[in-house]
Amino acid sequence: MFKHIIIGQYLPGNSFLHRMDARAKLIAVLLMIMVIFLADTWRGYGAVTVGTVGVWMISGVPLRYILKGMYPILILIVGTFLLHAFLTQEGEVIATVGAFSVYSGGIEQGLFIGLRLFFLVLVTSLLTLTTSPIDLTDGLEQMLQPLKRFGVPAHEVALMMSIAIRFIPTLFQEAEKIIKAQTARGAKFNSGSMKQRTQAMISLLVPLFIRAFKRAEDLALAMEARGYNGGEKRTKLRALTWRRKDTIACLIVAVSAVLLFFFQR
Amino acid sequence: MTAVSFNHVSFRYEEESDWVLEDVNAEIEEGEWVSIIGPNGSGKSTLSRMCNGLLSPVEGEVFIEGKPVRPGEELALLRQKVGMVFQNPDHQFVAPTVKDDIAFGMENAGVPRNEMVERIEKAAMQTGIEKILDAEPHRLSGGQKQRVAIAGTLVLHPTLLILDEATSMLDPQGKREVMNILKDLHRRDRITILHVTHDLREAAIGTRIWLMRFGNIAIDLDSNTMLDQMNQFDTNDIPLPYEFHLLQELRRRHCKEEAGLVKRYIRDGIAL
Ligand SMILES: Nc1ncnc2c1ncn2[C@@H]1O[C@H](COP(=O)(O)OP(=O)(O)OP(=O)(O)O)[C@@H](O)[C@H]1O
Ligand SMILES: [Mg+2]
Repeated sequence: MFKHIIIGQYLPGNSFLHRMDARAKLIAVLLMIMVIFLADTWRGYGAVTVGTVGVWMISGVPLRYILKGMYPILILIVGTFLLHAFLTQEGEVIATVGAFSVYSGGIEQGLFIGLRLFFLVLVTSLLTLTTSPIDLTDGLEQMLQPLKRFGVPAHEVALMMSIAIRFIPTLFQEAEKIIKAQTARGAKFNSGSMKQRTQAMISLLVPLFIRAFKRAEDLALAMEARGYNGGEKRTKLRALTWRRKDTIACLIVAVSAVLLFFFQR
Repeated sequence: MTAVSFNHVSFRYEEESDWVLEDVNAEIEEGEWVSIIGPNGSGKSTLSRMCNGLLSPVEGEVFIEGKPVRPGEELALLRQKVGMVFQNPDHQFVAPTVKDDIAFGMENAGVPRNEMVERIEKAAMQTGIEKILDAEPHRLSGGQKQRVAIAGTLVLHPTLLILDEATSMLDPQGKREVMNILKDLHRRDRITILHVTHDLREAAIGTRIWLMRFGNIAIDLDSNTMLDQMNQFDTNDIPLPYEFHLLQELRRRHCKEEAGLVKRYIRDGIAL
């Protein structure tokens, strides 16, 4: 059932984006998110479209992967569009539906917000599609490093994320085993009434949690036995390498961001 | 030199509760391979965890290579010297890939990156996992995971390796893999081994056997003598595997030559 799970939605590949340093990608994505929030004219959105589609083209990610990531937020996009379309009262009336009048300004606002959501998801999907979760964790840890002074637990957060990445497949495998065992004992996961299914769910979750706690205890002991001592004086096997092309890529995004700001007026 | 020395060690998990270890006195010499057997709850795990400071004796003291085990800064160094592998292969795999997991101990110890890469290569060779260095844990067999765990201790150049029922969750093939690696490490790299197990076949491979009962080392024999005095074990709740019975029977019938053969067969771990 869970044989071929992939964590996150990383799609291994060898494109320019795949080979970029995770930190560079994080910085670029942050910049692009800012740009997406700043855009508020048609010219602005036109430029954002050209930019993000360009980034998508060099990512080598097939369109269907992008669309798959879009499905869950489709309702949100359509919903916010309708909300703005009906409730904003600016510009001239285009149509009247019952008690509601649709204004041109509303349509425009709705489209802007919908596009904004769309681009946000597109940009962040491109990040997670082209960066392995491990690299993403490392990148995040190193970028949070300067914030340590202000009490941000960079190492601990990264360790937690990496342990989560490591144990998610294990949890799924275990859930599969428990489901089989409980089905053999008469639990109904896929058939039966709502009540029976809820009971079946409980018979899955309780053992799953108990074993997770036992595992956490064992894992803590094993980590201690291997000399884990917190983040102090630790070295890392994984090294991110920042190359010139990473600097260039970030600069291009930054310059485009500034240009867009003037261009859209 | 003495690798481990237990000096009047007593332990209980909570005050007022029963003693789990009571006045244990024993020594392990460098290069020995001690197997601990004994019923559930006899204190095997507790005793082994005294060797790297995961637990500290309530009374008495533990010495590793002559130095007392005490909480504090030096524990980190001690834990490099004393490698420990636990029972459940899945519960000691920390990192998302094999390579990262082997590196975990070295990262804690602050080993520079270039050196890590070299040490990983060597340890992977010693444990035969060169081909799976980039694999994720959920795609490995139990035996492979335990070999990764052993590799993760080897990169810290331990002088003592403790295995707490590290083979008990493995299939016969996995057991054999792990035991063969232990043999190599003992013979070639002269690593002292402390192996907690419920399997008399595995225990017979080492140089010495401790039988623990009620928080004490009830029987302490070198493995050769153990095979000559098996009647001592028979009375305890340790079931004898088939070839051990055979050995006893041959002895009873004074078939010296055959008994010698069976004994060698047991000592070499061919039955595993
Ligand atoms: N964390 C703990 N807290 C309290 N009591 C414990 C704890 N761990 C073990 N004990 C108790 O200490 C005794 C010895 O336990 P230990 O785990 O050392 O036995 P063992 O010989 O390793 O047994 P097994 O063969 O089951 O692994 C047992 O009676 C057990 O109930
Ligand atoms: Mg135990």
